[in-house]
Amino acid sequence: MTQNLLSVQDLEISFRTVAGEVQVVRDLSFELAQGEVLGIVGESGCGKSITALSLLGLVPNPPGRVSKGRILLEGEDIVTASERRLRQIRGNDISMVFQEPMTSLNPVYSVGEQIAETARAHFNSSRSEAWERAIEMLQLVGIPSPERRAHEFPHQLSGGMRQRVMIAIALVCEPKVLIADEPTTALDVTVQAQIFDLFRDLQHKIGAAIILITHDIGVVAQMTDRVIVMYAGRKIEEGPVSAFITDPRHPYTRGLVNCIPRLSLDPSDDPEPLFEIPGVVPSPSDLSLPRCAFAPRCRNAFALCLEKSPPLLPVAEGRAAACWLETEKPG
Amino acid sequence: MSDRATEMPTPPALPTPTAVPEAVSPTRQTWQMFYQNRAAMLGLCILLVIIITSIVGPLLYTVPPREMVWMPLTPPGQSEYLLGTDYLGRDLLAGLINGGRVTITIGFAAAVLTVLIGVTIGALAGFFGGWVDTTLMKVTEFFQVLPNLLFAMVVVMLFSPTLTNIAIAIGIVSWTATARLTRAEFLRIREMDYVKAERSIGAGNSRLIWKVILPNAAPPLIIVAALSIGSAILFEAGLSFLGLSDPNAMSWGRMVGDNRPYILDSVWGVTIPGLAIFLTVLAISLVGDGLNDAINPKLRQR
Repeated sequence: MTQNLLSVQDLEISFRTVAGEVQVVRDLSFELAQGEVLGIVGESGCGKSITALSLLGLVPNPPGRVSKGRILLEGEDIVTASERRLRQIRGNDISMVFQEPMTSLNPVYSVGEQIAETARAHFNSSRSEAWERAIEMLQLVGIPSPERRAHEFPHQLSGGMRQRVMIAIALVCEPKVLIADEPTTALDVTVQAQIFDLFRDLQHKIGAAIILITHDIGVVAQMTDRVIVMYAGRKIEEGPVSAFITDPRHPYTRGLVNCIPRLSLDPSDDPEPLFEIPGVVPSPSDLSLPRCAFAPRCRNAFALCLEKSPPLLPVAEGRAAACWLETEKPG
Repeated sequence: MSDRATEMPTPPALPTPTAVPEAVSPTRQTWQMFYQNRAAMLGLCILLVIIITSIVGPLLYTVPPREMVWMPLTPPGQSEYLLGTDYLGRDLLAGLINGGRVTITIGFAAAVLTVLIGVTIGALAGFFGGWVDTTLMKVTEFFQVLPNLLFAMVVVMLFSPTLTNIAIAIGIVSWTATARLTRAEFLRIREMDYVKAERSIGAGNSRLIWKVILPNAAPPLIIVAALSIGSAILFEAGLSFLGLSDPNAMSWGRMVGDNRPYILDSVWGVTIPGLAIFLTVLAISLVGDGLNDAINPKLRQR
């Protein structure tokens, strides 16, 4: 087996609350290979974003902390790394593109300065070299007339432009892993498509592995090689993207995939009402019960689901799901 | 003509680069706003005149300010000394020019000290939060509940009343408001997405505090700094009026204080330096308000 770039093992993230310590992520393990695009899918509040932050050692502490498990970046544990080492890792090895391009750029510096400053901090290059690098990066992310744009301030750019700048900042140090946390949620659809084209293009050019966090199944189908579905802080299904779309195993995944509206050109075709998953994601503090976290919302739940939480078991080549229906048939 | 012909086959051009408006930095925009504000420009002009006079004045007008040169209590315009003399027969104009140097130096020095202490303490408290915040805010509260004037008097009296000590005393008693404001700004900006984003690409704490958050917190701090020069000048005048001034230096507050007992015999002895203090503080307030209007983005929309 080839050495994986990033390996997360039994990750558990806890938050201290007035009601005691709650686990927002449990038993999460996954691997990321060189140049792979991994999708992490799930509803709001299922622990996607906090997982992403933990990869950078940025879980807000207090109240949060990584309470168990290891995050190995090329064999080096990030959880136990010193703050000084973490600062080297951030940007250089792993960097992140955030959800909100409108507010993620510093309003008092021009975009060129922001890219150049990052380059300078990591490469110890001179001011003029860093500036040239910034312009080169702006060009790379497809911003027209970069020499001029580099002097502009974030408020002078559109949302899509700003997200391109964010991507340029994230990529200026040529990280091995790029985490994109819902990078297009704040953008409109045409711009979304452009940004994803850019991601794919850059991935070919730079060869970084990408972790794409999203709740948009369409994006997952387009962009990723492999998908992890998270529910209430747990990984409940994992597999290659094609299998995920065509043959979801976990009832929750099936629900997610069925939530996509389909277009029909035939007016006589009366489509079924759009599927929805009833209920909401349980709050992490409700998860102390030893049952399947999805059971209250699952139409196929049976007695065993309410008694024991299902383990993640392999269901096919390269695939795993955490559902009793896949292992124990109701009897 | 032939040039145009060769250009013809090219596809419709993209918007020409000249269509993109020139990037205007926030600093330049602010200056433009300030420039259009008449009251602020007036304040700035008055301030510049006062500062230049107190720098150049003593070199041109060489009458010694602390020596008897004429009959005591001469009214303005009745001798070769333009503004008359005080109760000891000292030239008021010389006092005004030389006193301006002292007053303005102390004002600026105390304001710089106020801002240095206030911003440092507020920044650390707001950025780190937790026990750092609690401790620093307790210290701030301690300084806030001390009566300012009394505390400054104690400091000046404990050490000798030199100009440096007076400036330090004023700085020590007046930094608390700046610290609180800085802390509030840091608490607000600390949670901004761009701070998170900077952290995620490896920015350390010192970079976050001084190069990311502070420039964003600067607008209200610049205004407070400008206004604190005015209050430092008033404070110095107050201390001098009470007799706590450097005996080797003339200042406006001291002139008012010295001439106070003779106010019925010579109104101008207190009025002239008093007017100078008033004008200076007014000018600083106008500049401060102008800065406020120019920097505050909500007002800029008008």
